Order: sequence, then structure tokens, then C-alpha cells
Amino acid sequence: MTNQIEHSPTLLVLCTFILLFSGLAVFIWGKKLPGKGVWLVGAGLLVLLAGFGLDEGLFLKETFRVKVWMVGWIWPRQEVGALTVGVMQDLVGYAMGTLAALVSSTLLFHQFFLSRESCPEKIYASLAISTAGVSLAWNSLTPWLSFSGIALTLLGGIISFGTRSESNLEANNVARFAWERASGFLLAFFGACILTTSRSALLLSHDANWIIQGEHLSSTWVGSILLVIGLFIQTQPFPLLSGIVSKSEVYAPIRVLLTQAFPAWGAFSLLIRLQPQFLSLGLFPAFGWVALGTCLLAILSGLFQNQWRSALGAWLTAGFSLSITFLAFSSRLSALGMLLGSSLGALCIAAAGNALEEVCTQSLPHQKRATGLKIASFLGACAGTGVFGFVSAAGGIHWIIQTLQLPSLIPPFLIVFFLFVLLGWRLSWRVIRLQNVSQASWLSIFPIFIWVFLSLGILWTGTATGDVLLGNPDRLFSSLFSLFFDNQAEFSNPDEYVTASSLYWGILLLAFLSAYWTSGRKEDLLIRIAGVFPRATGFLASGYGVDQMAFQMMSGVSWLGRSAEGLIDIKIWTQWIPRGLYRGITSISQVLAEIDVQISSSLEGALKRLIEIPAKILQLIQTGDLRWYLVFALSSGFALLLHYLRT
Amino acid sequence: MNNHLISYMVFLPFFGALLQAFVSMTRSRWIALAASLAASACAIVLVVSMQIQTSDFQQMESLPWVGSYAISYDMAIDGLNVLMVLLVAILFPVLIASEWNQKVGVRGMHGLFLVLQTSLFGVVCAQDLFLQFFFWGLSALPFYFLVGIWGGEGREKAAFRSIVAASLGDALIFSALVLVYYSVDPHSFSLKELAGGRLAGKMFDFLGYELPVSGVAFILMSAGLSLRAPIWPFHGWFTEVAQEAPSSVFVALCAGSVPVALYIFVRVCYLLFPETLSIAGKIIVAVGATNLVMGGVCAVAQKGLRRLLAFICLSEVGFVLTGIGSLNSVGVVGAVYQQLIFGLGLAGFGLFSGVISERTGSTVFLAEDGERTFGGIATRAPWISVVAGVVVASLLGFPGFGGFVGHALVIIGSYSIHPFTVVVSGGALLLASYYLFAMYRSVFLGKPGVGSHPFEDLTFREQAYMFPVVLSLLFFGLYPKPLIELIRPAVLTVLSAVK
Repeated sequence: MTNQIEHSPTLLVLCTFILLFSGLAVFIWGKKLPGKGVWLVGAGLLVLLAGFGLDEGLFLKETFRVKVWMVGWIWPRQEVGALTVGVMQDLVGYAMGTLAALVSSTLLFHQFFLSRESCPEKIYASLAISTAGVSLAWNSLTPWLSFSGIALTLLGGIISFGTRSESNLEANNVARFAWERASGFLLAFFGACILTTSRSALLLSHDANWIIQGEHLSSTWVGSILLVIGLFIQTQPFPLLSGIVSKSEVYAPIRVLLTQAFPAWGAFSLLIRLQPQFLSLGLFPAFGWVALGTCLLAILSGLFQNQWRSALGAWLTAGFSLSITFLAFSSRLSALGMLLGSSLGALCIAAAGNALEEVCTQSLPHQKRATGLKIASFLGACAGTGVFGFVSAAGGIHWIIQTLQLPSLIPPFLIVFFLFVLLGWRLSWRVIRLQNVSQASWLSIFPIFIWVFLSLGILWTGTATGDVLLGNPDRLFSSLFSLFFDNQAEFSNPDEYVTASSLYWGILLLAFLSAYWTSGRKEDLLIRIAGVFPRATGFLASGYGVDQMAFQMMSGVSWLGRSAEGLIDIKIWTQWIPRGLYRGITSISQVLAEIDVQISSSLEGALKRLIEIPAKILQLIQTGDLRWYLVFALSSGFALLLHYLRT
Repeated sequence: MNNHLISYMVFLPFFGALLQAFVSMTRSRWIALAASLAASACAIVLVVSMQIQTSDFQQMESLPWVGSYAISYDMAIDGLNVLMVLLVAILFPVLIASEWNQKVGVRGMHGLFLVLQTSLFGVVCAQDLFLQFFFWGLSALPFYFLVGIWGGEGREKAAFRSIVAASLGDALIFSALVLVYYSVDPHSFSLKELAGGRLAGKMFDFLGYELPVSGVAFILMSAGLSLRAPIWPFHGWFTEVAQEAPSSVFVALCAGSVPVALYIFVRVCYLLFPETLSIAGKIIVAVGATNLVMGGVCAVAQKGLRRLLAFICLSEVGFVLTGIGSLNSVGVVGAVYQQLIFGLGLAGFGLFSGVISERTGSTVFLAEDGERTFGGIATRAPWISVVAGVVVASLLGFPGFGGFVGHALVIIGSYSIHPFTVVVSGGALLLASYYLFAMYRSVFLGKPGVGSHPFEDLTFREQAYMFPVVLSLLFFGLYPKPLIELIRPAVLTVLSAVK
């Protein structure tokens, strides 16, 4: 039995599907079983965690042997154009799946807030579906199963957003979310299909190489570009910021986790696994600039948001863009570090902010709980901004060191990083300043500290500081990151290390102080600036007027459609062609009728003339004006004459 | 060996139609449904008993019909038409059940649906050109009466336009048939005898000009079919029928008749005109791309569910044509698969819009001033919104739904030959994601709109007839392998003639 589990991926797949079906069951029958949904989804999550635990335990017994299983799904797998599905169980897949399941499980403890939602069962269902999606996406051998996972995270996002869809505002939010993510998904799907046109199977494993010798690169290029763009859109960067910064009353951690983090984690499963392919195609350094630009735009928009929830959305999006930048310019290790740090940090700030925002209705205010939440918010900012001790620090410092190789790139990189950290701390200050009391239960505060724990560097890098010291003197155990990506994350050049770490810590400190100076004191400086320049800051905060432009564009398409329809359906087929046919047929028939009349009258005249002569003679004979015998004699005479003339 | 089950499948609905006309109204419904279901059961038995990995005709029945003109009753099922058999089998019992509570002339309506089922089964299975034309011509008549009697205010005009378009199309097809028949010696209408490039190099004299039989017959056939399937810009009659016809009738048209028209195109053109097809492939793909884009652009402008459905159909036809014109095994298999899937998807769309129309008396979701007329249905009727969600997901090609398989195969098959068209079709899919989600937002989400009515969720009967459609979309999306293995050998065989 153990041997079978060790060599077959069926256990984990089964656990994932159990969770998925528990989510679907709660979605369908949740209302009929009030209060049971949380238990059903919780059981599903436990099953998945147990599956991961068992598999990881068996996995770690040996020397990290990756389990791979593949089957043809659509088209025979050995042929070009085959769509194959396969499971690849490696440590990074296990870790991300476990993390998603852990975060979702702990979020279930937020009963205090979740039970107040209009339909909590749908939120539990969406948690289960999205978690199953992340697990599938990260444990897939080919992109097709990853796409299924990404689609499940989208479904989870739509369901969770849709719980408040009775209001027009939330309905617009869910429709926009669905459309934007579906567009990204379809682009990525198109890209993968195009890549498949010249290959038998697209594999995500380490040793896979997508560059085909002697092949014309067009399909590889077009496919890869579409794939990257599609996955990039899953993280909702510029120009899709308006949806991220829109107002919403959905429970903030749910919004962060299910509509931002999990769909992005799904997309990152492909981006991180395919990084070597994109690098070899030269796509990644180029696309890294796009990501850096969108990161800057997201941060600038986030800085001038009136609501902390909107700013949080922008900050998390900026974090995803920064992770893609890390992936393009640095390494998968840096990218994953930043992705985990920013996601978990945003989740902490969201949960703390939501709890502190609640109006206290109880007679006895709870100051200790509010203090706990403020600490959680502070730690969330630490986790997301790369403070030492957290996983994001490993990402940040490695990125800066890589940047030192290209001195001209340092200023833009550092400016963006400074603004990112500034926004993170500004958010934290704004949440801390919300209220000094809270009625949130300890049971809902406790999971926030679990998320903080999950974002600690020691867990991922094996070092207390999160891989930021030269030579790693603080190493306690081996780094998971090194096991994930088969490379050690150690600094080799002491000079570079000193420069990089000085720059890094300097920026962190400067950003922290700037955030305090602008937002931590009594008067929020950026809000004051927004008051002085309302139009400019409004432009930034609203997402750079992209909404209006998109609206104009779609109005243009709609006008084109109406015009085409009006021209073809109404003018040509309903008016012009019937009229033309009518006129053509009537004019031809008129001409024919006239000709007919003329022919008839000519014939009539000829006939008349033909009949008139003998008729007149007969009439003369009849009336006696001409004697019949005289006519007979004359006729006989003529006949005889003719006869003799001929002979 | 003759398999009479094919004849039972084809003619059971016809006899059911005759029988139900002479019994009481209550019994007539059950007889109509039973006849349709019995035919569908025969179809499913035939499909299930087929063997994979073979391109031969597997279920056959052949009898002489009009000997002096070499016309035979030659029916067969192979990989090319098996999915259409399945589509017609799923569709018609669902349509009869959807019109269960029809108050006006229920016997007539059910009878016409049954005649339509007979004719479409006949078209799909016929392996004789004349027989196929006979059934195809027959299928136009029920639509005329269904639209003309049960349609909306402008029904007479819509019915007239539909029958005029169908008659013109049939006249062109018949001309192609006659041309083909007389060009071979001995004269024949049999597809099996005409296949294998027998028309290659044949010429005929027209006004002193020598013209190729294959090319002219191909043009006539294509032009004729383009008047029965909505091809931009010859689709005016189609959108008018969409506006005026009852939902179920329009579903029969866009989910039944249109895929069958595309099937005829594939069957006849690939078998009879392979050399012409190898030249015309690019034109077919260009027509497909035009349909895709114009269908998508016009769909964005729609404010009613029915016309939206019409333009989605236009777009889907474009997608299938892209696959057909690719002349690539993956692309053509995708196109054949997509015929079934888009038929089911459009059926689902038409059915839920029919339910909405039944409840509210309208399918217009945006008023002229842009105000939403529906809205909030998801909270009041969650099952309808789930069905609509499944249909939207399949039409967009999300994994786990039928559309994913068809879309993926068509894109993969077409890209290496027509990369630009595939990129254009990608743009059309993005447009589709916009208008479908915008429709979903307007109809199902948000506050109830200005003209909202009390809204009940799906009744048991409605759930019963929507279930097969939704289940099929899911099943064929998750497990397409058996069907693809049925289609693939047949497609490879016909493609070998082209290449």
C-alpha cells in the first residue's frame, strides 16, 4: 500500500477532488444545510492536508524523487497537437498546495465575521474550490491541468464576489472580475494551444525544453508571448487596476485571498515553472520591464486611495508585479519569496483592518484585541515589505544583488522598491489608526498570527533572518527554496553583498520613516496633497482613466456592430434588396407588358388587313354590287391565262 | 448487413407525429415525447455500439428506391456523422419537453418538431445525395410553419424570409446535385460511388465555356448551404427568425439545423470535391474569420437574448469553418467536435432564455436608454443562473466544458496553416468573454431592473430537460476521448483524399 502511494499520484489527486466536490456540494446544497457547510469544507481541507502530509512524508524519505504521471486527454499523447494531462508532485507543488490549504483552513476560524455574510456557505464553497484550484495548478505536469486549476480559482473568486451581487456595485465588481480574468485565461489558453501546434506535449518539468531545433520560432514566440500576457493579466496589473481599487463590502480577507491571491498563485504556478523557458526565449528580461512599469503604476494609484481596502488591493497587485520582475531579472527563489510575503502580508493587513473597522456594539470595548490586531497589521507589513526575518527579505536582497550586475538599472529598481515599501507601511499605519477597540473574537485574531508565522523566513529558507546574512551563520536547517529549485541561495561576493544589503536596508528604513512621516502622524500628508491636487490624484487613484477609455472603446465596437447590423440586416436585406428586386421585376414586367401590347396590336392590324380584303369582296358579292358569274368568268380567264403562260 | 435500427431512428418520430395528431391533447404530448425519446434511444444504441479506431461505415442500411435514376435509400453512420446523430438525439426530446405547456396548437407544434427530427436524422445518415437532399429540403418546411404560426408579431415576414432563403439555397444545392449526377458515367447519386476523386478533371460545357464540374458544383453547394447556415452577410433572415420565432424553434434552428448544414458541407465537399477544397481552404477560413469577427462585433451591440444568441451562432459557425478550412486532421476533428458542442451550448442558451421569456414575456435585457430590464435573477432563481453559467463557460471554452476541447483542437489545427486567422479568432473570443459576461451581469446579477417580474426558479420539468444539455456539456468536456477516437479515423480518411 505504502509502495503504491509512493509511486502513484492518485492519493493527492483524490484528496484534491474530495475537496473540490465538498466545495461544489456546499455550493449546491449549502442553503439546505445551514451551519454544515463549514464542517464539510473543513473536512475536505483536512483531507487535502492529510494527503499532502502523507505524500510529503513519503517524499522526504527518499532523495526528493519527483513523481510524474501523464495521460493523453485530447488526441493521442505521442502526436503533435496532443493535449495531455499529467500530475507532477515535487516539493514546490506540495508546499504551495499545503500553504493554500493551511491558509484556507485558518480562514474558516473567522466565523465571527463570515457568519455575518448574507450567504456564508457560498464563501466556504469558494474557499474549497479555490484551494483545490491552487493545488491542481501547482501539481500539474502540463499546462492544461494548471489551466483547470486556474479556472477553479476564478470560479471560487466569482462565487465569493457574487455573494453580495444583489447590489449593483458588487455585481459590477464580479462581472468585471470575471471578464478580466477570463480574458487573461483565454489569452494564456490560446498561447498554450499555439505552443502545442509544433510539440507533442508541453511539459512543465525541470528538464523540459520548448525550443525545438530547426523549428521556425513563430509558434514558440507567439504562443509564449500570449501565455505570459495571459498569466500576467491573472495578477490584474495596469490597465486593470480599476477593478482592484473599486469599492467593495466583501469581507476583506476573502477578497484578498479569493479574488487576488489564489488566482495569482495559480498563474504563478506556470510562470515560475516556465521561467527557464521564458528566459531562454528572451521574453523575461523584456517582460520584467513591463512588470516593473505596472508595479509603479499600481503603487502610485494605491498611494492616493481614500479607502485602505482599495490601497491594499493596489499594493498586493504591485507585489505580484514585483514578483514577476524578480522572476524576470533575478530568480525563481526571489519571486516566490516576494509572492508569499506580499500575499500573506496583505492577508494579515486585510484581516486586521476589517476587524478594526467594525463598529463596536458591545458595552465593554476590547482594547487588548485591538492591540493584537495592530500588531498583526504591523507584522503583515513586515512580511510584505521584505523586513529581515520574513520570506520576502530573501527575495528582495537577492534581487538587489542581481541588479548590481546592471548598474544602469539600479535607480529605477530602487525607486519602485522604495515606493512599494512605502505603500505597504502607509497601509499598515492607516489600519493601525482605524480604532483602538475591537470586538473581534480571539479565535478570529489567532489565525492572523498563523499567517505571520507562515511568512517567516525560517520556515522557507531555514535561516532565522530569511537568508539575508553573508554565509548564513544563522542557518538552522536546510532551505526549502534550495530544494524547490535545485540551487543554493548564498551570496558569493562579499563586496557585492555589502553594497546590496546597504542599499536594501537603507531603502527599507527610508521607506518606513517616509511612511510614518506621511501617514503615521495625525495628519495624512498624502491626503492633504490629494486635497491640493484633486484632479491629478483623482486621475491616479481611479486607475488612470482606463475605465473611460475602455468604455469608449466598447461603445465604439458596439456602434460598429449596430452599424453593420443596420447596414446588412436592415438596409441591404430588408430594404435595398427587396426594393431592388421589386423595382427590377416590376420594370421588366412593365416593359414586357408594353411589348406585348405592341405585338398584339400589330398582329391585330395585320390580321385585320388580311381578312378585310376577301371579306369586302364577299360582302360586295353578297350585297349584289358585284355579279358572281362575272367574277367566276374573270377568275377562270385568269386561271387559263396563267396555265398557258406557264406551259 | 442492413441495420434497421437506423430506419426506426429516422421514422419513429414521423409516425409519432402522425399518431399524436389523432388522439386527445393530453395523450398527444406523451406520444410525441415517447416517439422522440424512442428515436433518441435507437440513436444512442447505434452510437454506443460503434467501434473506435475505424473509418468504415459501421451501421448501414441500403435499399433501392428509384431504380431508373440510381437513387437508393442508403443510410449509414460513421465517424463524421456520429456526433450529429447524438446531437439530434439529445436535442429534440428536450425541445418537445420545453414546449409541454404550449397553449396554442400543441399537437401541431410537437408534430412539426417530430417531422423535423425525422428530417434531420435522415439528412445526417443519408449516404445518397438525392436522399440527403430530400430530407434536407423537407427540414425547411417545419420551420416555415413553426415560425409562421407560433412566432411573434412579425412572424409572417420572418417565416417568408426563411422559406425564401431555404428555397434558394435548396435550388442551388439541387443544381449542384444534377451537375454531379450527370457528370459521372454511369450516373449516380451515391456518395460512396462519387467519392475518391471521381469528379476530378471532369468538365462540362456552359455557353461555349469549358467549366470544371468539381469547382462549379462546390460553389453551388457552398452557396446553397450558406443560405441555410448563417454566413455573414447572408444572415439577415436568420436574425429575423431569431427575433420572431419561439425560443424552442430558434433552438431547433441554430442548434439543430445549422450544425447539420455544416455537417453536409464537410461530408459532401471532403468526399466529392477534395481537389477544389485544397484550393478553397483559404477562402473557407477567411469566411470563417469574417463570421467570427462580425458575429462578435454585432453581439456586443445586442440588447436582447435572442438576437444575441443569433450572433453567437454566427460566431460559432465561423469558428467551425476555420477548423474545416484548415485541412488539418486536428483542426477538422476539432471542427466536427465543435459542431456538437456549439449545438448543445446554443441549445442551453436558447432554453434558459426561453424560460426567462416565459416568466417575463420578454428577452430584452437592456432598454433603449441602457436601463437594465432584468437583474437579480441569480438570487431569486439560482438554478437558472447556474445553467446559464455552465453555458457561458462552455461557449468561452473553459476547461471541463465541451467548448474547451473544440476550441483547443481548432486553434491547434489551424494555427500552423492560418496563423493570422487564429489570432483574429482569439480577438473574437475576447469579445465573446465581454458580451457574455456583460449579458450575465445584466440578466442575473445586481438589483432587479426596471421591468422585473416575480421570478420562479426552474420547475422540475425544466430541470429535467435542461439536465441532459448541461450534463452533456460537462461530460463531453471532461471525457472527450471516446468521441474523438470515433471521429479521428474518418477524418484522416477523408483528409487523405484532399492531400
